[in-house]
Amino acid sequence: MKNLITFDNVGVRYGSGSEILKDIKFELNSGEFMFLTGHSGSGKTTFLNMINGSIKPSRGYLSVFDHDLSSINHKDLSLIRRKIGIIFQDFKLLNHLTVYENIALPLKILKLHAEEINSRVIEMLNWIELYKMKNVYPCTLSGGEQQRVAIARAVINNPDLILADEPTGSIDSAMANKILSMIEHLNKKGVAVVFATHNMDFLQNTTYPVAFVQNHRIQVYRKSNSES
Amino acid sequence: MKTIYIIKKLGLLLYNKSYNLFLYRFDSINHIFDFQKLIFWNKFFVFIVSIVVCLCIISLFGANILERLVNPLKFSSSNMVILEIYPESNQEKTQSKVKIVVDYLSKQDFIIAFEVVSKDKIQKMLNDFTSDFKEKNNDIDLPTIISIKTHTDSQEQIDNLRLNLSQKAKGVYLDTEQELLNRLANPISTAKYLAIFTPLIAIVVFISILFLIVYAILFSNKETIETLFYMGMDHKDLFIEFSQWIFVKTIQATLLGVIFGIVSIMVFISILQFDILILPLVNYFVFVMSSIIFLPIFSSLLGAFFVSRIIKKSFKSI
Repeated sequence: MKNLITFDNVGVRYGSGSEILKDIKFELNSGEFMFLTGHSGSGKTTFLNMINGSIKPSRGYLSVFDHDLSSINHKDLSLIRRKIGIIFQDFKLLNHLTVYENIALPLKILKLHAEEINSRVIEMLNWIELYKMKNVYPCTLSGGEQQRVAIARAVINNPDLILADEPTGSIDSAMANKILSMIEHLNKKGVAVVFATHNMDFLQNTTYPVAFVQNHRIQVYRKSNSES
Repeated sequence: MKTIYIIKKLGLLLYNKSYNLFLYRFDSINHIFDFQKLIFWNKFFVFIVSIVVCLCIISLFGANILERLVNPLKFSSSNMVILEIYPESNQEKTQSKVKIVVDYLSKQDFIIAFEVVSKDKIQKMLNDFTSDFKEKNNDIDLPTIISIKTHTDSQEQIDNLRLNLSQKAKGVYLDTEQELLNRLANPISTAKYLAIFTPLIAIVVFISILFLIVYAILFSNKETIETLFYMGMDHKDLFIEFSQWIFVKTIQATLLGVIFGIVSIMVFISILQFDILILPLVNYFVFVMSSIIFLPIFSSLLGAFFVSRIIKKSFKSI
């Protein structure tokens, strides 16, 4: 299996303050699913932001898709981000665009032909069961529906990695299970997933490895309960 | 019917092809960023730029019109003096005053020749400025104008001539070319300064407005831009999107400014009843065409530069 993410003794701090995350050793391979958990403010979002290149490590080596993120240029970073689908807790849908236009955005960035964009967006709308809502604006949708649109937008350009930052944090449990099963479905197709969550139901019943963020460090527990 | 059907089909085909090739890009600009949320700035930009272009055209018009009035004087033969004799209450008195002046002039050694300009010629000259002068002012008593050619342009002799003439008859005025030019000097220099400084001020206003607009759009779309960068949008893509939007808006504004400017000049011409042929139309054509071509290019490049600076300074996360 190909290694997608490598953290080697990585530390990160904001300004001159103390390190938020330190001595991180972490690896994620292609097709792997991993939960990420920890109390609020522990640094989960910072960890995900480091993977998507928004925050640069203060020390250590961080590589994503074989690119050293400490010294990456804007162009390469944008190419890496095109291989990553990001799902946010607050959806980050653009309210001045319709559901259809929101889902089409990543393909517009890739400058695909209008006809190809149309066929792929329709395929996604059918998958998230919101085809009838394609022309409505996100603010008129429920939380669960908005998150499904966000997932469709994150995966429409067939990413190799999905970073989900508490995607079920602001929706009911039935919808949360549906969201998880959608992401699991993508994982079964070979997409690697880092799924940040507080949902104890997910964590207690899972067979996937779980990464805990505590005391500014990350520890990964796998199904045999062995710590790595 | 068949012809209409074929034309419709061809039109549709052409539209689809051009949409895919070109318009799709513009379509994406209008949709990705919420430029419409900034409807005030959108209109403000077009309004200010059009006013700036309009003012430039008007100041160019003012400078050109004065330059055109002065040029014939600058290049006329030297040592010419113009004598104006204003009409008296009746024609006999006027004729006797003219006779006194003509007699006096004929006795002066430094005068080579002089000629009483005919009324028809005066009316023809005035017609160059006001096309219907003759019809409207046929009954007005025009002054008698005598053009005098002298051996010298010595100011002392001219002053002596002026003094002697004023003693012999009232209402006689002597104008040298230099005096005429001196009288026009102030308005000409003002117009020239205006013609130079209006575009300079216009450029400063334009750059400030452009910066303000770019700043306002970037910050009101900050979340959108951050989300787009998370999806893999490149800095270059952002510059292109903004450049294209600014390009289109500047073309709109420039065209509007040109129309405003031309209409203002036409109104000005109609109020002052200038003959349109005295306008240096080539200058306007060059100015207007260069504005339409270069202003949008300049503004879109400058806009992209502002975007890059603001993004680097204020959007550190992306």
